[in-house]
Amino acid sequence: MNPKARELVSIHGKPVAVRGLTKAYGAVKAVDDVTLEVNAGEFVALLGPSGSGKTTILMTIAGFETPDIGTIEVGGRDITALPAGKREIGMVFQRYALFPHMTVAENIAFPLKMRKIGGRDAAAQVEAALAMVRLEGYGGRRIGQLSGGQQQRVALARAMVYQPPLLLMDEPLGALDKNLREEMQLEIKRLQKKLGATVVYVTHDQGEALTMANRIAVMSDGRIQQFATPMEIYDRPANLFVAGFVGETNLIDGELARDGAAWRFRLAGSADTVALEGQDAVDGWRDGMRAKLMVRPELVRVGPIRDGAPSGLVEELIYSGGTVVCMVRLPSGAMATARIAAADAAGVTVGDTVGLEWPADRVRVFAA
Amino acid sequence: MAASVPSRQRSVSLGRLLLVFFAGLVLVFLALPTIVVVPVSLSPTEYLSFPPESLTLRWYGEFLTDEKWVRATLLSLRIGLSVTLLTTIVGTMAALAIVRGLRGGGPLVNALVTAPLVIPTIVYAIAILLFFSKIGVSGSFWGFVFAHSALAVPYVVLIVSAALYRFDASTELAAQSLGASRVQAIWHVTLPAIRPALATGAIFAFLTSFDDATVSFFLANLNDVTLPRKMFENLQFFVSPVLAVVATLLTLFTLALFGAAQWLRTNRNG
Repeated sequence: MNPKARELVSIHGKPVAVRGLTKAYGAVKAVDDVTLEVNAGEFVALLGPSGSGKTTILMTIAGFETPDIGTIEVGGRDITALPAGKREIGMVFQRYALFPHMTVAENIAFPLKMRKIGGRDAAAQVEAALAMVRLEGYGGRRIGQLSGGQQQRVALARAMVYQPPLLLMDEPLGALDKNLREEMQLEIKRLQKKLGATVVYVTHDQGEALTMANRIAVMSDGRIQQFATPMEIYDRPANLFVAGFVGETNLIDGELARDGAAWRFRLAGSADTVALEGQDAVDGWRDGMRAKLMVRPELVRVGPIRDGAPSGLVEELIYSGGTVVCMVRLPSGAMATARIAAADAAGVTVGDTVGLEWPADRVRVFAA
Repeated sequence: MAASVPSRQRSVSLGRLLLVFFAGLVLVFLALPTIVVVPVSLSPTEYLSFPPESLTLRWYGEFLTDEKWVRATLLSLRIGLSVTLLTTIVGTMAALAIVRGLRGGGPLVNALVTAPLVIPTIVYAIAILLFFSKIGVSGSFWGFVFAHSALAVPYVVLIVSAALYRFDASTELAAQSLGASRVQAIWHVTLPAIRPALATGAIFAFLTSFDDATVSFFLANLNDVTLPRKMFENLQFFVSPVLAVVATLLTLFTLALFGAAQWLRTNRNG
């Protein structure tokens, strides 16, 4: 890209604050008292199943929904009462929402036209925006002549050309096939980093959220269940919903057992216990309380049986290249999944009874 | 099995033959009277005759030089164009309200706006005569325009709202997020994108007005008559081949407009 083009499109991201946002449709609270603070230049993903309220939050920030209660601030300025067109926010939609009767260049020039910027200035900015999304020379094309990926690049260029301090994206890659989606994830991340834009990105794809976001807000039932970095969300989920929604996981039934000052976890249907370390919410715990233990498959090790430690029957081995997925039937009847290195799986065969091990401080236990 | 296949094919082809025959018959009965007016309009006799003994354009000249026929034609055109302009604007606004604006009231407004389609035209014509006489616009140019507009507006609403339902509403939201007001978003994005539907609606509106005889029959005074009304008069008092000329021209004109509408509908994204 030439240096002049870089100068024409430079975004100074501003912080965003959603405070006490509530929005109900009839008796259903789509968003229930949500507060969300996004730093300048940060990429935040709103992750959740459909109906969790993530899109409603985005539409309220954009100005297409009016909150029942709560305020929206961008760069310290309250924009709750401003119409969408006056908010200086760029938005990218799932189905691109390009203007079908305009060329690529006319689409990108539209926000400039609305700001009464025309002539050479506008043409230069459109060129720079096209270069930014690597579509030099496509200005004269009709929208119908572009592929899905190219259309989404045009939508990105159009949302960035007027340098809004905040970009909103509503499942922008949802309509693309898998390979293109992964390519575009990197592309969007590259642009966001380079321009320093603040991005709020709605998705139901956890892989997308983990790959792209600085922080993820996991949503369910109109509330934020956890707002943290991808690593924290994955390693230390705040509750059962987050543990089950993000990543592959084992949720093993059992109960809590006091062991002097420490706690152990007894697996259901057996006397086997495991040690627990570094747990968060031990205050409410009681001896014998029913609980669920969360452990990621890649943390589970398969080995010889040891007295008093968990064990199970190997029912299935699934080879997937570098790793092998080992399905183990626990005494309770539930299945546990271990993802082990192919080399470690050499001594394991279907029908073996094996011992299971995992690091005591890498599991999470939730009172059930 | 091998024997049954050809026999079934045979019965299918016989059925097809009958279908084509009857369909052809229906088309001939529908189209023939319309086609017959063409040779009649070219006949040299003073009365309507078929088949004509020879061909002449004499009655076409008569039509174009008769001041009464020309006045009636121009009046119908002026009314038609005014109706087109008025109903395209009003109908498009109504369609926008029904599809985008009114959340609960859409169906009710839709039913009200399209009511003239289901009310018998003669009932509407009598009602409009009584009402217009009271407010003193009966027989005036604007009386025709308003009466025809009420008949024509349902077509515009139906055609435009169908296009609006097909049009992705997030495109309009995108325009707003890019700095447009709601009105600007509709003006710069929605309306240009549904241009073919607007043109089709306008053509239907024009034809509704231009072809109307019933309402004009009730509203017209002795001096200002529309083309269909003038044809009625001609039929009653002195049947001349000019009538066939007008019928021929009217048919060709209508066909051309409908052809244009059809072309716009099939080349929506052209």
